[in-house]
Amino acid sequence: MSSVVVSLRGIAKSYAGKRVIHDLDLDIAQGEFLTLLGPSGCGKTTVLRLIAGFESADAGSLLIDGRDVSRLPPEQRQVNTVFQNYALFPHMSVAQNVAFGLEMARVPRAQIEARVREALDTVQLAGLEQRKPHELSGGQQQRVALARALVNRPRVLLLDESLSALDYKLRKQMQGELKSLQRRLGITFVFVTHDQEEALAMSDRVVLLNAGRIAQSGPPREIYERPASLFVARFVGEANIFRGQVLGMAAADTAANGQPNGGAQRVRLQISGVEFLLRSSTTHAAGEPLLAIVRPEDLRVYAPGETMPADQPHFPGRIVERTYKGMTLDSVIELDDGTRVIASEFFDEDAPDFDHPVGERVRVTWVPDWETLLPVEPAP
Amino acid sequence: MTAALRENVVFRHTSIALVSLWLVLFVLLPTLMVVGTSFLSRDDGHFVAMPFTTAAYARLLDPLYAGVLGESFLLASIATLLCLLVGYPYAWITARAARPWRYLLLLLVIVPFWTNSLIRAYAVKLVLATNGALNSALFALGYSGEPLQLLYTPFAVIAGLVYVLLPFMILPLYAVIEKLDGRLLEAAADLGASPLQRFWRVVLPLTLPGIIAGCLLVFLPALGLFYVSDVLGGARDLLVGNLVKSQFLVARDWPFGAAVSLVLTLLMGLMLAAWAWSARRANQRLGDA
Repeated sequence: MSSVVVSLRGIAKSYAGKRVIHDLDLDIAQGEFLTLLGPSGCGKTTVLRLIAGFESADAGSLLIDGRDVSRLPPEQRQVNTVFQNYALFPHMSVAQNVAFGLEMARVPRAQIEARVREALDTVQLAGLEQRKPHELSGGQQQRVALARALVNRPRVLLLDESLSALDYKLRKQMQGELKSLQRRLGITFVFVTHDQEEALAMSDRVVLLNAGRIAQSGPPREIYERPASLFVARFVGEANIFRGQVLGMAAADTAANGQPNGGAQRVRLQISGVEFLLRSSTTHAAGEPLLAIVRPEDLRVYAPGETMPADQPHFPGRIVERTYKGMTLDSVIELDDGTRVIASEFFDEDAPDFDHPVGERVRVTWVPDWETLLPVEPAP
Repeated sequence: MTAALRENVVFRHTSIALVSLWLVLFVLLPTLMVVGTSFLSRDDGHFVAMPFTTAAYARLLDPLYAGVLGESFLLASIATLLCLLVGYPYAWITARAARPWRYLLLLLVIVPFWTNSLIRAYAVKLVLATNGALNSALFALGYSGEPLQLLYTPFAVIAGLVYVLLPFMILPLYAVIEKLDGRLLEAAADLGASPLQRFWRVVLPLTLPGIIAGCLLVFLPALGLFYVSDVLGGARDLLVGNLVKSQFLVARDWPFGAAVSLVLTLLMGLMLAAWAWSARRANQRLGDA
């Protein structure tokens, strides 16, 4: 990533004495599609409103293109917002809505017309110039809002849960369109959503917020595959949590499952009486509690007749629920120690019609090294 | 048809009949009587007499009465404008205030309704009188000239009209401003509009129905509020309402009084129709018709 467009330095914000943003540092790069993700109340919309200028921070500074804009009102910032409910002007036509920002910037009349037409072409709304917002469908209103913001060629486009009012299919379609639009125009997008699937699908980088702090920031893949905390693991996708205790460190050259490995350090973790040898980047002391996080699609379920690799540590369990999902079969398995886990198995050419009847005894394990080890967090 | 349904129909027909009878007796008949009276001749003994004539309407063309009408429209217009200038900011602050304050501000508008407006006109008189509250206050502040002659001037009538009619301006304005989506203002600011541009391009067009409603609710009664002009304006006929009143009660010229009030009613009807037409257009534009 090249130059930084927006830079938040030590931003803090309180409402009615309650801290919603704690000492936030964030750099947004030119041309980046950045998603602010988090549960409701995590402060993601506040961050967006701070960048837009609708809120002012209690502490810290906000730089756009290296210039401190903390004290500038929204009308003097080179950012534009696509609002959650679009906030189209109801008394103006589509063309008047889109032209509004250009008129405010005193762009010559002839240019305005051309740029409005171009913007409406970009969002595929040509021909609807004279309609009023209430005569448009939700998806069309969304596009007008997008055109109204983009026509000003902002340095940064802010999108506040902009897709959440659309139905599932239209949302999927708009996700794709937004992404390709962003690639084509090269404008920096800051997108706010509580939908983790949307965040993973669209972003170059996901910033996951929790209670006004950044829980993790990174590319979608890193967020999903290497969650930095239990909160991240649970918020992004489903997570099975195995609680274990460190028995000690293994020698660096010890192989897991007889496979040679690249010399990574391994920890001997005992989970519910079963010993696992797991890759670990840090050294753990014996007796330390650790969590192994495994995604449902990384769990392996072996039915009674199936053979599993020898010496593979595993847990015996029983199927308590099965859900056919079309692409996958999702099973809830109660392990013999009482823990419940979820396994997602794909139907593929090797096993096009496997099934787990409820009550079936199974053995559960996971693909070695696909787990994430996390320390046990102190209870809040 | 069940018995209950039949009863229901009977009840409906009875209630519609009662309401219709009421309207015929107390609205349609009196209005027709006023229309009829306006075409009769004046008679000192019996108020009105034959023959039919349009003399009353011919008299209305007299520049003297056109003058009263014109002056009355001017006074009502000034009062309406003042109500708008005072009422708009008040309604704005009220609609945007936090909840407990909002109710207090609304209450302050509504409380005067509980007092008779004639009594409130006298209250204005007490304030404006030569030895009234305003002059006393001026003297207390060190003013030493002649006491201001405020009472019995058009200014006093305007002050009275504004005081009595202000709530009718504030309430419709409050209704539209409260409905105004704050995010539209944020969107306008986001697109580069200064506070003045936001007001001019977004707030004003969207609150226009309330402005028109408020202006009509102030302007139309202002033309007829004869007692405000009687109490505060002195003996002159400043408002059309005074003219009507004095024709009936002082000059005893019922046909002319009836003609004046009919013309006034027609003018008001025309303005209401214009408002209804513009409101329908505004609603169509906003799409919540």
